[in-house]
Formats: sequence, C-alpha cells, structure tokens
Amino acid sequence: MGAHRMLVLSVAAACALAFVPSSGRADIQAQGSDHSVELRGSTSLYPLAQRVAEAYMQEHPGASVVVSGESSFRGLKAMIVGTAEVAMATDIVPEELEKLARTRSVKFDRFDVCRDALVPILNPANPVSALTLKQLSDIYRGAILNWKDVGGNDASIHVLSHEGTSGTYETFKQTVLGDSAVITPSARMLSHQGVLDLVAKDPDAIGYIGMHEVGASKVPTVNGVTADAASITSGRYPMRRQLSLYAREPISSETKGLIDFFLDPAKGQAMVRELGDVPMK
Amino acid sequence: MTRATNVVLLLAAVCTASCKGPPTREPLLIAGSTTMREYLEGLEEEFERRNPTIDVVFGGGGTAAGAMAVKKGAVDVAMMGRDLSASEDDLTLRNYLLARDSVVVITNPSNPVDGLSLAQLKAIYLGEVRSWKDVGGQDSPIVVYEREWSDRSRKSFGALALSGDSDGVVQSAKTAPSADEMISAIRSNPSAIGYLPMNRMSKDVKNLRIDGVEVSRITVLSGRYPLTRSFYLVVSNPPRSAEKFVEFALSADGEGILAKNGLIPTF
Repeated sequence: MGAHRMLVLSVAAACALAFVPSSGRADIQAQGSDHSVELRGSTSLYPLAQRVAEAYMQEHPGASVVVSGESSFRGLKAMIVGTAEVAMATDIVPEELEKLARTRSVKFDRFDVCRDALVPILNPANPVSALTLKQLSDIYRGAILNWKDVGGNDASIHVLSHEGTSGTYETFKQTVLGDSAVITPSARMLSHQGVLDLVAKDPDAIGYIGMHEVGASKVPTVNGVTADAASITSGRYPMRRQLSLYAREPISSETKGLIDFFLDPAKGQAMVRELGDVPMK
Repeated sequence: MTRATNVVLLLAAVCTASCKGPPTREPLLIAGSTTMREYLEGLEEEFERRNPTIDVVFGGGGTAAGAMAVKKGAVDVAMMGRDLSASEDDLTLRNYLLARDSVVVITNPSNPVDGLSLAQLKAIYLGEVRSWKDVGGQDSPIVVYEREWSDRSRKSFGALALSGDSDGVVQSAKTAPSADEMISAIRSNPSAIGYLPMNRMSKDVKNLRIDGVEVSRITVLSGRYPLTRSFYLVVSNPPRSAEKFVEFALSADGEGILAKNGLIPTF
C-alpha cells in the first residue's frame, strides 16, 4: 500500500511539473452574446437586482440577465477579471481591488442605484433600544465590554461582525470605526445569515446589517435617529451608504440598457421604492 | 478520503489517460465535478473537431478537488457544479458561468395544490408527508414518481431538492423511464407528483411554484427559483488551449450543445 501510494504521488508530481500552464496569455474573449449580462456581488443588493433583472427580461424577451449574490468584494473582483459584466457593490471599492484593476488595465464606471443604511441589531430580549455612534464604536473596538455600560443588563457583550469581503463590513468600518480602528479580537466574523441567526439566539449579542435584512432582530436607534427613507435622504441617520452597479469598460449596449432600466425613475427606481429601498432621487 | 488524496488520485488518472494520446497533440486537462462532466457531453467532441491539435483529457475528482487542482496549476480547467466558496476564491481565479441547471416539479392539472415549499417537497419525496391534505390539497395519497438512477434530471433533483439524498426516496415511488412517460403518468393520475428537466416542460401538466416562485427561464437566470444551481468553468493562469475551450463553451454553438443536454444557457 505504501509503495503504491508513493508511485501515485510521484506520477502526480511528474505530471504536475510537465503541465504547468505556459505563460503569455490573452484574456478570454467570449462573454456570451451581446444580449447577455451577468451581475454578481453584494447580498444587500441581490434581492432588488433579481426583481429588476426579471422585469428587464420581461420587457426584452431575447435578453439574458443572470444574477448571483456573493459579496461586494467578490462581485467587484469578478467584474475586474472579466467573469461578470456588472458588479453589485457598496460605494467603496477596497484598495486591493483598485490595485487589481490598475494591474490589469481595467477601467470601470460606477452607477449608484439606491441609498441604504446599516443598522445595529440586537436580540429582541435585549432592553437596550438606543445607542450612540460613539458607544457602537467603543463596543466594536473592545473599549466597552458590558451591556450595563450602555444602559443594559450586567452581561458581557458578544460582538458579531462580517467577513472582510463584505461591503457591509467596509461601510461599518468607514461610518462607525474610522479607517484606523481595529475591531476587537473577540468579535466573531460571520456571513450575513450567520450574524442574523446568532443575534436571534443570543440575548447578549450585537451585530449590524443592511436595514432591509434585519428579520426579527431588534433595531436600536443610532444617535437617537431611526433609519428610514426620510432620515437617510436628509442625511440625519449616520450609518448611510449607497448601493451601486459597477460596469467594466467598454460597456456593451445590453449592459447599458440594463443599467438605464435600473436608473429609470418609472422602472428600476420605482421597484426600489416598492421593495422599501430608498431611490437615488 | 481527504481532499488532498482526491487531488492526487485525479491527477494520476488524468496523467495516465493523457499519456495514451498522440504525442503531437497538446493535452488540455479538465477536472472536477463529474455531474457537470455529463452535461458537457458532445462539447468536447465538437471542440476537438474544430481544434485538432488539442487533446481534451477529462478527470473527475469532484468540484472541491477540481478547484484546488486548477489553483495549483495541476489542471488547466476545473468544472464546478456550484459557486466558488469565499475561501476558494482568490484574485487570480476566474469562474465563468456556463449554464444553470434546474428541475420543474409537476402535478396533474386537476390538483388544487399550486405550490410547495422546498421543505414540503423534500418531505413528500422522503415519504414523511404522504397525503395531499397535509400540503393544502385533497385527502388522497401522494403518488411519487422519480426517474431511473442514471438519469440526469434525477441527479439534479437529488442535489437540488433532496440535499443529495436520492437514495432516501420513499420506497413506494414509481419510476418513469423517460420524460415523455413522466408526463403521461402525471397527466393520467390526479394524485401524482413528478419532475422534469427544464427543456422538457409540458403544457399537459401543472408546474408547481416552489417557495412561492414560479419556474421559468427568467426566474432561473435571476436566481430566485430555488431549484437552481450554477455550472462554472474555472481557470487560473490558463494556457491558450484552455482559453479556447472556455470561449467555445460560452459561444452560441457551445451553449447550444449545453441547451440540448438540458441546461439553461446563460448566453
């Protein structure tokens, strides 16, 4: 058995060496037809983009609009390397991806499709119903460790955050922590669903998420303001963001058509409003 | 078996196979999802006909091992029957969406039930729910139809609706040997439930909504219809032959072959 395994390994090693791909390559040309557009990215924008894509395909029977929800970071990466025409993402492009685009000489354009907000989320049993930005920042930096310090029970705070590829995390960092701040090492990094599930189970947990993804969680005010269309549009609610589409240049006519549809006040923007999101205008 | 062993074994299989080819042809190593491989039937032949200097060599190994092998440069193209996971993805991997795969759940048009949740559908096929009245229908026993074990739509249904547990289907289930016979069985039995591949949808039976979403090309492409999965070709730093293969698979002719095999092209 041992000898046989060795042989397999050495054959594999030899082959791996023999078939190292040659360098010097061009990009893959085919991106489907002119009538096909692929969108990948933010799970916050995913439900809206799915509905808009369906409405667009109904209006344009020959068109294919394919949508996948991954994360802002991965959607932007797919757009930059050319596996998707359009990325769904928040309004922040991480420096690592700006650099990837520069290395690959890729240019892209941003189209803001709706306004949105992040909200802190708590277990419904948590008595805390208001937090300030400063308190949130202290909790996430690990400077406040107990709920009693923000008007709650005498219990340690269980801090939940998002994976680094999440646009939600980028916005939270920017609007709450500031660029240089570091999240407490005791925080757990989870997927969107993971944050929701744990907040639902744990009375001492705190998380944050897009305002339309809160499920049954309790949403405290921030600086005394509730996140809603009015407070987002007026700028009074502090944890705001824009959700955007990013398209790689040159932009095909079908991609342009889809983006125009998304931005059309009577079409995509009307759906933004119907689904409870906040349109750009 | 560990994933690493899987990679080694699939490499060995690929290499052994490739050594038989004529020495003048450049081998193109493709490995990964064996399910997806079945859906690529005809693609490889047509590609080789158009590119006589390229020898396509397929290996299995599964989706996870395929992704690892393409990252390490051990194979040229990986076939993946699902999205890349966040931990598999990196800045150099390119996963081209080739097509989506879906199944349509059908009943007799006289059945008053118009839709099921994914959980209800699974419970019916596993024999945990046996009467239509338990899912909002009439007081009649549910007659479950499935396809024979080698059928592609059976495998898709197993992966998408039964969490891969095709063998757990209720013992009393009847087998329809073809899509046509599935349609005629369901059409003639008011208590029956069955499934079809997307390209065999029929007006003679009723398509059930799943989790409230109607099945159509549009809801599969938007990703809202729950019984949907994505098939990808993944490359990292591909040789020209691998780029040609991906380009062909994404072309009108390539997507036409995939459509014939029952997939929903994203073209």
